[in-house]
Amino acid sequence: MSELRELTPGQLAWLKFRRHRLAMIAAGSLIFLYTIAIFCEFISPYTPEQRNSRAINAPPMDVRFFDAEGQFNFRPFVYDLELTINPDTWMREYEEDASTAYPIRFFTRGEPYEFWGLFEAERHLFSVDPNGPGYIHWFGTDSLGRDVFSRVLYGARVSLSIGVVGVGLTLFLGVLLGGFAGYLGGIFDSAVQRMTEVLQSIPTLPLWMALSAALPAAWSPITTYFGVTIILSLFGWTTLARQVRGRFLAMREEDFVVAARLIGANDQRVVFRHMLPSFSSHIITTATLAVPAMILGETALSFLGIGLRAPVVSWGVLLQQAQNYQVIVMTPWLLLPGAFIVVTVIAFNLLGDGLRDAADPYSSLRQQ
Amino acid sequence: MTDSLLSIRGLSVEFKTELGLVRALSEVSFEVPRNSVTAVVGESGSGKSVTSNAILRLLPDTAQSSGEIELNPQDGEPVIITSLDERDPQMQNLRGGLVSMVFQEPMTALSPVHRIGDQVAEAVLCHRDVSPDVAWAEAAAMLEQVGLADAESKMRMFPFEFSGGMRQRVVIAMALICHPQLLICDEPTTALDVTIQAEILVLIKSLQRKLNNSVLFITHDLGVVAQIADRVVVMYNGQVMEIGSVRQVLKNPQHPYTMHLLSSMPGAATDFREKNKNWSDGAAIGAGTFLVEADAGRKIREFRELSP
Amino acid sequence: MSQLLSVTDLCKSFAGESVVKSVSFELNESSTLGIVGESGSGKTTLVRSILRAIEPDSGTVRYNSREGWHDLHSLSPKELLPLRREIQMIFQDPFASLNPRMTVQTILEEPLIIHGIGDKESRKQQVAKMLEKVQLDSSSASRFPHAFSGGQRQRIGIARALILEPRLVVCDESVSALDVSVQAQILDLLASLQSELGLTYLFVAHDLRVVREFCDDVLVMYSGNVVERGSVEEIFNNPQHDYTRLLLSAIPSPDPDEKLQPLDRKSLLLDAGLTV
Repeated sequence: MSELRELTPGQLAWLKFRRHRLAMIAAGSLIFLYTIAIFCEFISPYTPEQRNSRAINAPPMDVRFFDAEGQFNFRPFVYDLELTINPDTWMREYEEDASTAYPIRFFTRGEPYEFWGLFEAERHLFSVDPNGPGYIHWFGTDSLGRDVFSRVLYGARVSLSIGVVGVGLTLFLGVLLGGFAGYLGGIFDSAVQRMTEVLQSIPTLPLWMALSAALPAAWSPITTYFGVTIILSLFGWTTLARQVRGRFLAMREEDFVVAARLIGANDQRVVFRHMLPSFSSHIITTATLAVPAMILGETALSFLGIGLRAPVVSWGVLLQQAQNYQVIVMTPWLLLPGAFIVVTVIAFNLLGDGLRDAADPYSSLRQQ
Repeated sequence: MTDSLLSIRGLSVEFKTELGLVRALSEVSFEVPRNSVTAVVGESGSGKSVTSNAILRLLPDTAQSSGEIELNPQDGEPVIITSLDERDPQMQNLRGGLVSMVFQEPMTALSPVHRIGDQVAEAVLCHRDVSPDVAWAEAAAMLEQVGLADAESKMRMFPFEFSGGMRQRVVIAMALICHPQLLICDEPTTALDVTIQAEILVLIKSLQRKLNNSVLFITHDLGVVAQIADRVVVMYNGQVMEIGSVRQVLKNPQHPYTMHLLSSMPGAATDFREKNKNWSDGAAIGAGTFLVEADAGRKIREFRELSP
Repeated sequence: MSQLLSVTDLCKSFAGESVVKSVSFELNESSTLGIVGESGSGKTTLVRSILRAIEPDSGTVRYNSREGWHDLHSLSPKELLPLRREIQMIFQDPFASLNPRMTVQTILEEPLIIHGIGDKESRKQQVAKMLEKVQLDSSSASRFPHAFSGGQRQRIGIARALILEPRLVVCDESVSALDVSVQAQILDLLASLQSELGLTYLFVAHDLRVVREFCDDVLVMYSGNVVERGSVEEIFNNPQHDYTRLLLSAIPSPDPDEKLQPLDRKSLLLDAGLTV
């Protein structure tokens, strides 16, 4: 098996990760979701605030290739929706009108937007003819006639990024405090230990609520966003700090770290050249598993109405607006953001599992 | 043929890996005679542990094996172990009944949360329909036999209160309590200090004489082989190199690999070593092995690589 | 022969339990001193405190460097650095003692970088020379440790220890984890390097057969004490202490006609005359 000899540790880890089927699928789904989030202005056919007064609480429209006669059309299309008011319930009911079809066009001009706030553009990935009367609402619309599909995509940007930004902050605090606690020991170690214990013993939700309530309502959406992220990270770092500290203590006794000290390496070299690279993989794993908690935290706060607020669109905000029993009966498609949350959280957990297995390709080598 | 308790005929084992099939054993055949100690000696990667695991069907799912292992008990029909179904009641009867095993690490073989006496008595209850009191009494008797003085009071203790040597004695007692006809010992003294090792070797040998069973003893140490075995099987790279009586193999080795092993023993005469230093077979494959985990937390498979 | 190392009254305890109890010994240059004992005898703690990987509770470790005698434990880290070049260690576990994320080149080069020796080109040459000395292929330099067998890895460990041209090398069970045939090769290598470079070995082992073959003098340790010290011939042919006798009686001989007859632990006065 001479091929194995030539592999770098990174390639070995990749070899192991690739065997983990579910983790590979999860990684693919996450790359897909994040790509969507990055290019949400372009991919969504409408802007999140654009209203369609002719389709209020419209159900998801089917994208079709076959028309009513069973004829195959190369270009997909949607049928127009016909609005009727139910005389008994006074509810709007929509029915497909097979006589009017709106073909879907790609790279069409539509509502102008600012891509990442950097430059203006008006091309969208797909839409129906913007100058005609047609419309396309793949996931339906809400009570104001806003396109749910577009809103889910815009929400993905906020919800998915809050996980990453929050975990980044958590990592910074956790690695810094945990690392110093593990390396320095003594009073600093005890202080950090006690602090994590206190923070971990506080019930998070009430505290989150208290802190979010303290965020001034006048703050701009972007400041609120960072405020919420910081609140979430302030309590997330404790677990990570403990793990980092534990690994630091364990690794200090590892033979190759002792060996580095014996050849005269100073503390800085021992930590940065030998210890940190060896558990960077564990840190990545832990971080991956921490992202779902962040996303769920944001969702919880927004759902309770104390996290992000409209006009910011996040999956939590979208769910908050779907917060009554009528939705479940009348407009269940408003719950679609929930499905996205579930998929994302599961994908992150599976990815974390796969990374954990691949993280230390040597664990098995040492057991000989 | 009929006087052997165990016959292994043409046993080959391959492990499935992402780099293709890796051969761990090829065409291994040897016999374990009744009422004697057979030692399998080899270095890491020689396949000695794969062989012993194959006898109790403990190989991982990634293993594909061919060949035959036949157990011929004293007072029963011969059983072809390799063709038994995993759920066959005979298999249960075999494991821990007719054949039992002592592993290298005595701490992991004992449950840390149960008393010594309960664990040994449990082994009796698993295989025989007796009352707990009888099982307890039998356990006490067996622990006395393996040299634990004052067994009754020690049976109320937990494994962590025991030293490594005492734990290995308990493990041996558990293995012997159902009077197996074949006791497989997989490097049972490797983790122990040399003085404890000597005690355990003397114990295994004397118990074998007393109980008239057969012992298959896996080890890498030729000194241990000399002291415990009647017959020796020398393995290397998944193949049997030499089989013979302990005197013949150690005093008049026929195969160059056996000579090489003997000359590598610390304290071997230097001229003997010089003569046999550079042993290699045609493929120049050495004793180094490279292990990669097969499935998360499961058995390992082996990659061979060039020797230094 | 001049003295290289002198240890006096070294004591170390962990959590109130004495592991090394007032150990003293001297070590002569270009000789090999074996330290034998079973698990819990304190031999590993002893050598680690000599290396200052562990701080002892009391006692002194004096080392005769090229610049004269130093008390190792009174030196500051900065003063210790030049002495690190002279005292090196070879570990037991060839899997754990090499950083898995570094190539052999980086592993062997690191000591040179730390001590500011040579430039990039000359270091590369030095690594190649060292690899040749431990009989490894020069193409090994670009590989990672996982590409090597146990014996080859141990050779890398030896190369790392010797690249700084030390005078004292501590071998902590350096061959115990290896297969016998690999063990024999490594012992041969260590012996030839000793005669070539004039090294002094402090050789910790639990296998008396290896010690008998490899060492000049032996220190027998039992529960933190040195119970006997002497030349290999004296210890193996005429042991004085009961514990040494017990150890020797437990060695399984590869001759089936020399039956193993271990002495009975209980009949021996193992703790007689030991300091508590």
